[in-house]
Amino acid sequence: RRQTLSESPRFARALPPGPVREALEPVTEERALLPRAGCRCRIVPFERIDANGKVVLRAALETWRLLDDQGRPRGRPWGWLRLYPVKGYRDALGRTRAAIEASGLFEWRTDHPLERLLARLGRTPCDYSPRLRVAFEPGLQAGTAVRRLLLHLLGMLERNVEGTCADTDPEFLHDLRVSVRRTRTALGQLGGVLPRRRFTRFRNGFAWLGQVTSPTRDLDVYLLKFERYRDNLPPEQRPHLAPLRDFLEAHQRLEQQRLARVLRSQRFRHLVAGWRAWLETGPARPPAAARQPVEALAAARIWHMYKRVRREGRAIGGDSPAEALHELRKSCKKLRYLLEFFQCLYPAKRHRRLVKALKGLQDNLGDFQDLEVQGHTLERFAGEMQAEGEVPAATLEAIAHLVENLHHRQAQARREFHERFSGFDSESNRRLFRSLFRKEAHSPP
Amino acid sequence: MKVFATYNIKGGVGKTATAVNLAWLSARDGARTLVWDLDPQGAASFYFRVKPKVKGGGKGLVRGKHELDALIKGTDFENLDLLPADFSYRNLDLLLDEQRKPTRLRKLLKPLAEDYDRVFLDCPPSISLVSENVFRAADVLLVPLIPTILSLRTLEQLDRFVADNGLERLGVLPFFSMVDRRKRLHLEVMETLPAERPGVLRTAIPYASDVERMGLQRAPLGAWAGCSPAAQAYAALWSEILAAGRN
Repeated sequence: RRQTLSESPRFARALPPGPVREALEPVTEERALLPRAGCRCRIVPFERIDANGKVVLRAALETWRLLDDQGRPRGRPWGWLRLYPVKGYRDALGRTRAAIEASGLFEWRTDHPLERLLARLGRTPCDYSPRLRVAFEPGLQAGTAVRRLLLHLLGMLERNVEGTCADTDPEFLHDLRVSVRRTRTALGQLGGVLPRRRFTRFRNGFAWLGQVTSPTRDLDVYLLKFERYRDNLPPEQRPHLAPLRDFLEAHQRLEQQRLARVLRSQRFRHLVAGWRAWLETGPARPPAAARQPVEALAAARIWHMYKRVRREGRAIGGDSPAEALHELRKSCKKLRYLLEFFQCLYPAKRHRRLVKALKGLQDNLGDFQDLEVQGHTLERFAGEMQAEGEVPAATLEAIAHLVENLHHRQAQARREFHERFSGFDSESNRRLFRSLFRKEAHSPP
Repeated sequence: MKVFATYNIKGGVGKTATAVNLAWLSARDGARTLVWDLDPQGAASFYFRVKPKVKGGGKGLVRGKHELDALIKGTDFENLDLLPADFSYRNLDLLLDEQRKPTRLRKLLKPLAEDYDRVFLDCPPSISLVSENVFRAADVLLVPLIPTILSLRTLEQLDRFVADNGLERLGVLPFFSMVDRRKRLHLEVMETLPAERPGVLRTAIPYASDVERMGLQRAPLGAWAGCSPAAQAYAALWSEILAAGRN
């Protein structure tokens, strides 16, 4: 099926209805469509016709040309002969194929010219993923492994700076913040294997980065969730929420500009460049802990954090304060990151089972805290809106209704906590954690 | 998947021209459309320049030896495929009789529901086991009528058959075909019939040499004479059929 587009919008959801949108919308979601390269293609169509004048095969000779920024052709063009079989005429396809093969002019390919074009630019489809993909060979020194991990995280951070500055889509900032958080967890949990010199400076630097990226992300989240918020209100209240959206959009723009200035600042550039240099030049005198094999470090840290999660979780009762759940949430996040850092060291199936169990608990704790923070933040926004000017009473009422909804859902998350924690703390999961990470399980008695 | 059948007990009334031209219009609007040429004469296959030959013939088909899908040919038009005729279809009656049930065609069509939005069955004239199978398989019967007395009798016969055989769910849509406005009888019949028998479509297809020339061009009217009065009439007829289906 074909669809002609006169322009390419920023997001797939803004495309006119048709096959292109149907194909792109579900796979791109919140991600923007970005021009990667320009190309021009000239197509000469052919038909193979039988004695009755019936078309039995279609073909197209395509000439592809890469374009530079000014739209001028660059590099050599390349040709592509594409065959389109007609249903019920396989023989014609076979005969034509044989003749083309015999000519020796073409080689058979099953990829698309656009894939080859991307390859020329050094890209392959799906070559970016926010998932961690670091591999450690067994017996690798822990110091080297952690530096490799941190370099990988730094690469991810750097790849997301430009898109965050340009506010291309909210995922750039999200992925940037994920790599900052992972880096901070790695520094906190695995820092013992790194040299002490300038360590504190970098740890503070990343704490600062976590802080300055927060306000924009918060507003992004509210804007992403806005429609869901609105749809949870009774229909007559929905239109009154419009001033909140205007407020969110205006403040998101401001915060985003502030963030872009930070990411272009000397302080940020120095932090990143210094960090890279520090990681790339091996330490002159590594601490003794750096020489242990990576497996030993991984097991020790995961086991330690797992025990903390278990202890904190078991201590939570019906009347425990919200802070106890918040603390547990932080520990869970650290455990999750540690599990992900060292994923390649463990059998995939069992590792996945533990991550899944942990995720179930994290989702519940995340809901609990996010809903509370969202409620408070919305109340704060309402206050700020009033400070900025007149706000219709119906709007304040709608916001109050939203906050009430959030509290309601938070209470529900709280009620579900025990069930979720017991799921995580089950006998089989405990056994699995023990067998994979407890020290005695690794070294013979 | 909606199944249309062009049918009349009488021959030479414009059944094949109707199936071919309406199917072309359906496919042009983006619906995945299949024409099944059930007439051993193979006129629809001829119009699409496809050899009137089916692997295994009518026997293989009815006995389910070959998947219908493997016998289908792509036409020269996007979204439009053809299941060609075969000379052995002249015995289709006998073959269907082996199956005893008049629902064989419906069963054969069933697996195609995922691949096609609309199917047009181009039926041979006569009222027989083949036609009964067609009635059970189709959702809509499109009945071209030449406005003559004999034609009216065949419509009465069809109406009676539908009523006697519990086929009320079948939509019967008669319309006038090969109309010659110079003939008084044609005009008279066209005036009286709709009053006596409700449900006759308003659009009439004129007698036109362009329809005859389809045999020379070997393509649906829309592909080479889209502006001709006959092509326009088929387009109007198709809109009316779609509107009737919506109500």
